[in-house]
Amino acid sequence: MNDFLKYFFRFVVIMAVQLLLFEHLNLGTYLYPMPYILFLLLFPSAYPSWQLMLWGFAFGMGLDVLSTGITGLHTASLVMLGALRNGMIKLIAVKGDFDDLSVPGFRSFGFARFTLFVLMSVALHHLVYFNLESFSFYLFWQTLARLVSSLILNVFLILLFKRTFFEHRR
Amino acid sequence: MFNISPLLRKLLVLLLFLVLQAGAIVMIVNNSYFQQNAILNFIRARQIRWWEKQSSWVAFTNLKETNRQLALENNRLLNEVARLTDPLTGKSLQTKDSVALRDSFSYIPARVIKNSVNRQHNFLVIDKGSQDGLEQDMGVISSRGIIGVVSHVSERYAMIISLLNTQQRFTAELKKSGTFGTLRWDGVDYRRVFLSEIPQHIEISVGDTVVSSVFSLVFPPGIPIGFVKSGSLKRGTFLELEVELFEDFKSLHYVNVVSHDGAVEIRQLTENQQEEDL
Repeated sequence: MNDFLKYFFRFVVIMAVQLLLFEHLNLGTYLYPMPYILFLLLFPSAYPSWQLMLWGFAFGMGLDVLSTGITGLHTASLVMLGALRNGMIKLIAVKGDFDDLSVPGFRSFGFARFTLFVLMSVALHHLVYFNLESFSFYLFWQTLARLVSSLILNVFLILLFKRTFFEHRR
Repeated sequence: MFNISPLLRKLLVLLLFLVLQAGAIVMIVNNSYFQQNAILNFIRARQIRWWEKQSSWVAFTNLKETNRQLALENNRLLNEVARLTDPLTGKSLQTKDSVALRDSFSYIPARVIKNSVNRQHNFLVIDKGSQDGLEQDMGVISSRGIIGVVSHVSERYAMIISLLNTQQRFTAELKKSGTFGTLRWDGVDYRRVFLSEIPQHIEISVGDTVVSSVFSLVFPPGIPIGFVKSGSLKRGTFLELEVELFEDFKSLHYVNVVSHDGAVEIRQLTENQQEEDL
């Protein structure tokens, strides 16, 4: 229950920051700051994926309802990420490398592998988001350019926020 | 915790995934930009108040630029008044013949309290609603071009589909020749849109002004939108012109909602015609 409260608190804070700050930054067509993806990456490595999907659904739904634009885009991307996140952790983990209780981070994964993990997660989220948003392959190259430029921005933002606010000080 | 086989568990997780993803897709397909149900309106009302506060700050910091624009517009309007005033009688021009302008447009000034330019489907929220006489499908203009169309109206606020929305089409024409075409945004650059379906034989030079069309029901004719930057032949049949907008959507703070007396009547007329054709 204690953990649930912690996650819920995170849910509210990250949602608030996204809605009050990042939704108002108009950086042009090619840059859409979405550091809220970090929310799903902060759950422990062994957190069941069905619960991750539910968290993702709730968070995406909240974001979709409270921001302007087409409802369902954030929800679809976060549910997809929630479903595949644990698989990606298994993919980059070396067997017996870290215990199941650890939280993904620089310390537990190492800098290179954690960056790779964030990169893969954000890429998956963006693939769903930008393709659903344009909903056609008519503007394929443009969609790809938007995806890649936002990807670079968001990976950077997420690594920065993770390092600054969510690394346990010892 | 749960005493079930791993296979069944996997299937259940897959099922949950499909259900949640289907829920999201249904939301996207229904495409409810501004859902009308009570909970959302409740949230929106609070949220809009916040946007309003925020935008009033932004507007405050931009007062200088806004002032300059207002002065320019005042100047333009004064010139218009001077042109329309009969120099002999000093009264404003009143035509009694059939050439008289039957259609009358009236304008409702409003302030933009939410705007975006970085999506594929951009929207604005303004601080005027049904109590100020706004209705769905009214046009929205600024002093430097057309902005969009009212899509939803609540009591005190209205949501506008921006010109910068890839799903929205407008009619516009070339000022010089009067040739009309379809104005649409391709979702790339918020400073330029495309005017397509212009016949090949029309002579076009770079810098030609694009204005709102006479055939448009939502905008008064002749409002300057932008100028032609370049053009290319599409599918060997029609010209597609790249139009640079006069309006900078990023620094948009004040707009006018256009109310057109005849719009409803004309729409009914064409709809009746279409029904008969069927």
